[in-house]
Amino acid sequence: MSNRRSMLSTLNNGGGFSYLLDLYPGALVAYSLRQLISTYPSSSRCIRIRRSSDNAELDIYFVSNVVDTASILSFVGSGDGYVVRFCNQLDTSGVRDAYQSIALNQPLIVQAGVLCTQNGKPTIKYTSASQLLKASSTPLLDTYENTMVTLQKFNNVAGYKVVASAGDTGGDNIFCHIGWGRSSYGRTLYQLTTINEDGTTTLNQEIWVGRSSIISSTNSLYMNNVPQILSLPYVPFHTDSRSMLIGNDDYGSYIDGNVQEVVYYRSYLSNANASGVTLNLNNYYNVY
Amino acid sequence: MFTKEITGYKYLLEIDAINAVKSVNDYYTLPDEAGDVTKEWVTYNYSNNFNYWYIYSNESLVVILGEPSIFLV
Repeated sequence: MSNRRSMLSTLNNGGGFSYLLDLYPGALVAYSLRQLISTYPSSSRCIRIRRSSDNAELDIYFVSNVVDTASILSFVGSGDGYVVRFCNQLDTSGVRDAYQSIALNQPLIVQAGVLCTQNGKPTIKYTSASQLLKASSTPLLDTYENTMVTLQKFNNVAGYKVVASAGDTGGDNIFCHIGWGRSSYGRTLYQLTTINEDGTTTLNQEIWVGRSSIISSTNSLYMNNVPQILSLPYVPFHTDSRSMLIGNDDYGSYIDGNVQEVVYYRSYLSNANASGVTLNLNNYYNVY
Repeated sequence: MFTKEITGYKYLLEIDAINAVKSVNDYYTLPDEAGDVTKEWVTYNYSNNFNYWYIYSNESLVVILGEPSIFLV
């Protein structure tokens, strides 16, 4: 193992909390219920939530690098709690925070007084095709290189499902779109009008790293650090400006499951870095 | 073009969808304090595939809009 790989392995495996984006910088947007970068100010929120009892809202911050679940539960009480704002940890101005201003379109973080969790960690739960968090005020920039990192769990294998998308018009007009293309298609990179899939369906919690490079005519999809064999060798993504969508493609293809982390790089991460990112997530979330 | 089956309320005219949304949003008032993100209870969508407008179903809508139906978008 090289000195750099050895160092990264050490940082990922021990010695306190390991900030993903300190180790693997360069992401354009990053959303998570854990703190991803050490320089994110303590005065900056993680999420904003709404409670069902009276529809009041509250900003929720990090405590010891994790979303403040005690404040969430205290505020929500015995009802439901919804995420109305998922903050981009790479820009405290909020211009690329993912919002939802329509009450019925907001995903859950508390259900009947119980915190939504996946494998013991808090999660955002999508239960309806209308639920979506969208960063629309400042679109992503034109790009020829993409890497999308997601941690999710699907709750059923029927129909199209989307974990995250850098594309706001739904349907065919997507350029970096990671999800699930019907039960027979399995893990999928949606590209233009093409479904590029590995054919494997699962209800397991998984870490996905999807990449595409127009420059090198390459794409790939890693699942839990294992490269998946896709149905197509390469299909270019769109290169125009889109918004980041979490949990839904804004066209009714929603995850029907749990999303805990979405990070989008406007670059094609190297194999080593894609592996390192996966390792960092796995060390925290214990996925595999 | 992807099509999906959903449960909800379908409208052939946009004005009917607008009126349906208004009736729901008038029914469910929100606090609207400074900094609040939530502005409305429900909204409507447009089906590019079938050229109509629709609202996703939710149990809170039944009292105002009645029982939903199943259709493609």
